[in-house]
Amino acid sequence: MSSKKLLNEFTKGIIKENPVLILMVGLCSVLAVSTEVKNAIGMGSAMTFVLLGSNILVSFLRNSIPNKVRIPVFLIIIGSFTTIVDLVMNAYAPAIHKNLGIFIPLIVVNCIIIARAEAFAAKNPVLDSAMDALGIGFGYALVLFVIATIREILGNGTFFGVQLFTGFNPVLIMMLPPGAFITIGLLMAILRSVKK
Amino acid sequence: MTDEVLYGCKVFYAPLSNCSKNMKETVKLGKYLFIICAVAGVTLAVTNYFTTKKIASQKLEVENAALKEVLPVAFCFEVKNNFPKNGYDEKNNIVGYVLKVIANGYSSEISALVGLDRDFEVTGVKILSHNETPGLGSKIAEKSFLSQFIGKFSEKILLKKDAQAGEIDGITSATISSRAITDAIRKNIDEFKKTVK
Repeated sequence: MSSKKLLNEFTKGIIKENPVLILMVGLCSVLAVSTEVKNAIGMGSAMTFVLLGSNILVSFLRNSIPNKVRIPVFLIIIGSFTTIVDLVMNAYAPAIHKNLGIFIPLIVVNCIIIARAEAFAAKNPVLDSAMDALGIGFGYALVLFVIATIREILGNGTFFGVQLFTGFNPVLIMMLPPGAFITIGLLMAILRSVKK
Repeated sequence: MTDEVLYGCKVFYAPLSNCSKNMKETVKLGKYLFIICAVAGVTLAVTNYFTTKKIASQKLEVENAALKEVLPVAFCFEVKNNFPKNGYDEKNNIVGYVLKVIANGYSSEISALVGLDRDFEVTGVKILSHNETPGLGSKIAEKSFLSQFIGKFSEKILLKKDAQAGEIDGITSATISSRAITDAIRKNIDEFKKTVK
């Protein structure tokens, strides 16, 4: 029973409560970094790590955090994990860190993370919160991966930096911001019609 | 009269006791925040301690690789924070120079490194950073464009469509970006020549 519940906490983030396509939070970073699959994976894992860390810690402290200062406390926790990711990425994956640029520090203000801390981790046990974080993080990363795949293939003719076709004229708009909006809109439409 | 005094006293004392209660809570919240911040601070300090060295060496490595890329003949480079930098061979003779060029592109500032040998012939160009339109202006960072500069003197570093002497092919539908970087490279070399002579 409880393992089923845990599994449910994980899977709900992928389709039913997908942060990007259903809850529609954290769109800014999705739109911005989904030009290359490599960046998408980097961003997805950074996000999942911060989400996991903050959810576990918030859930662990949930009974001791005074209600009045809970938001500042969440922000300190999230900010610390973000800074750790920022520093570690800068040290060990400098190329991806350079590509993601400002979007790594901006994880601090990403609404997915603060929303999960406030809406889920502050009310649920540690294990459930961890599964919730993994599910939401994976759902976020998956959408990012799909969008980046579509945009990179159509907009640049490459996948993971590898040239796919010769003599292919890339659809430039897919690399530009409108391409991100078009792709994300179509994905939302598809998911909604499938869900019905 | 006595009632008034009494009433006054009540009013006077009531907020005070409230105040000390508020005070207590504020101190409690403050303590909590202090502990959280202290733990976060220590954690970050530790992370920083373990990553600074790596980040610094990484940065240096990237920078050295970039210098080497634009001036392959050099064995090592002048150690200083600003440009131009001299490149030396094994016997410490100057074999060339590396300039930093900043150009105003179509949508961003383009910064690049340009390697020159002692005759001011270009040995290599590398774009360090730019924010030009992806797929159009961003092609200035590609080898097919940048390799055109190699082996050229500043007189010929002009777009073909701008001048007869020009020997640089601009990028289709990214003329502004190509012209910006080409002109900036030429001007920087010309200026640098004066300072060396």
